[in-house]
Formats: sequence, C-alpha cells, structure tokens
Amino acid sequence: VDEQLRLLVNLQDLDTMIKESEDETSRAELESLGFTMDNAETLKHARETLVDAISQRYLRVYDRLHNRYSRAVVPVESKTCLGCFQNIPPSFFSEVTADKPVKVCENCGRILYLLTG
Amino acid sequence: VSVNIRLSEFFEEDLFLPAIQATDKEGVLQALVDSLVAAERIQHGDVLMEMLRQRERLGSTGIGRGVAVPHGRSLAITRLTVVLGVVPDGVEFDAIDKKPVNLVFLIVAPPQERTNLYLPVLGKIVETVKSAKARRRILKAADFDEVIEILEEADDGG
Repeated sequence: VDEQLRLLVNLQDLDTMIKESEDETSRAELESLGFTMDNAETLKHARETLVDAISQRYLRVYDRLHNRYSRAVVPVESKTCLGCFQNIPPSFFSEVTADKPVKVCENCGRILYLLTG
Repeated sequence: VSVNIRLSEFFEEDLFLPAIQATDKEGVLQALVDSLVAAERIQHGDVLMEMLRQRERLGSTGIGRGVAVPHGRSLAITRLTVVLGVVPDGVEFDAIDKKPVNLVFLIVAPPQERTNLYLPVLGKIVETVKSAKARRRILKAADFDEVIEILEEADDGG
C-alpha cells in the first residue's frame, strides 16, 4: 500500500480512537471494565507527528472530508465504497497507479482504502 | 455489555496462539497481528500494529491478574475478530497491577461494525477472566478444543 495512503489510514484510525476516548459513554464503559485511558494528550501529540508526514495536498482533502463525514477514509469491500455503499466502477481497480496512489469515491468523495493489494 | 452473547463463538482455531515466545509487549502484539495476516483476516498488518501501539500509549490494556486485552477499531479489519495468545513465560505489559501477562486477548473491529458487538465481547472476556479457575484452565489448555470447552462452560454460567 502506498505510504501516503497508509498514513491517511493511520490518521483515520487515530481519529477514531481520539473520538472514542472523548466519548463519555464509551469511555465510562471501557473504564468500568478496568481499562485505563489516562494519556489522551499523547494521542494528540501522535496526531501532530502523523499530520506532519502527510502531504498538504492529501491533508486538505482529509480535513475537508473529516469535517463533513467524520470518516474521511473508508474501505472498499466487495467492490463497494463502505462510506456511501455505492459500487466502485471497474476502472478504479485498474487506475490505482504509482502516480495516483490516493483515490476517492466518485459518488461521495471519500478517500478509498482497498483492503487487498 | 448486557447483550447476551456466547463468547465461545468468537474464537477461531487459526487465531489461537498457544505458545507466544516474545519477550516484550511489542513482540506479543506483533505475533497476534502476524496471525491475522497468516490467516488472511487482514492484508496490512502494519496498519493494525500502529493502531494497537497508539492504544497502548493511551493506557495499557493489561488489566491485571496476568491478562491483557489489547483492542481497538481499525480500517484494516472487515469484521469483529478475536485472537487468543498464551505467553507461557509471561511478559511485561505495563499492567495495572505491574505483574507479567500470560493471557492476551486481542479484539479488533472495523470503525463501523454492523453487529455492534465490540464492547459486549470485550466486556464478556473481561468478565470471564475474572475467574481464577478459568484463567488457570485456559493457560493450561492442551489445545484449541479445550479452550472452547472452557469458554462454553463460562457461556453456560459454569
């Protein structure tokens, strides 16, 4: 998987974790099970470091999508975008090339993460 | 967590590691993730490893009594998946009671998991391993079938 796409996937996973750690219901439930979540600040620092490694071009797309949908990066499963559940055209699978490693859904615009390959 | 689930149904033979030899937390997590790649549940192990490292930075998932339950949501996985690893020699896991860990339950789920069982499964595992007898028996289980037997007994309230 392309390095920039991998970083965008890492960023989405990290944002999911930050959101969960800030959600009072999830947090209370996890803490009641005995899990500690004391170092929320370290996630913020990790995010800053990660963001520094992502090209501005992709980061702008990510931020725009993140504000709109909360999940900016979504997987492709069974040739379907798991953001809008529309079929991905066959051309998508042949067009992921070195000069175009990060592609978006033609329908919803989310960044697509192909789980295989 | 009050959802009625049978924990035994979430365990799979190719995701049971009876003798992890790693000597640190990173090595244990890597062994668990490698098993998911080998069993073709995920393609990109590095993505999952990074999520698990961040989760451990948020706070150790070593919940004491020799048990750790690393967990999290990642785009790398398509459905709720559990891996059970036994570390016979024990490993430092920054656990809440500072004791080494012998039993590791990895739970990973996609960010939007349709069944919504991630937290209930997590809760059921924690509840099951509160029993010293269950922990001891899983640790000594000869094979996967025996692990399932123990979990089924716990499911039946035994």
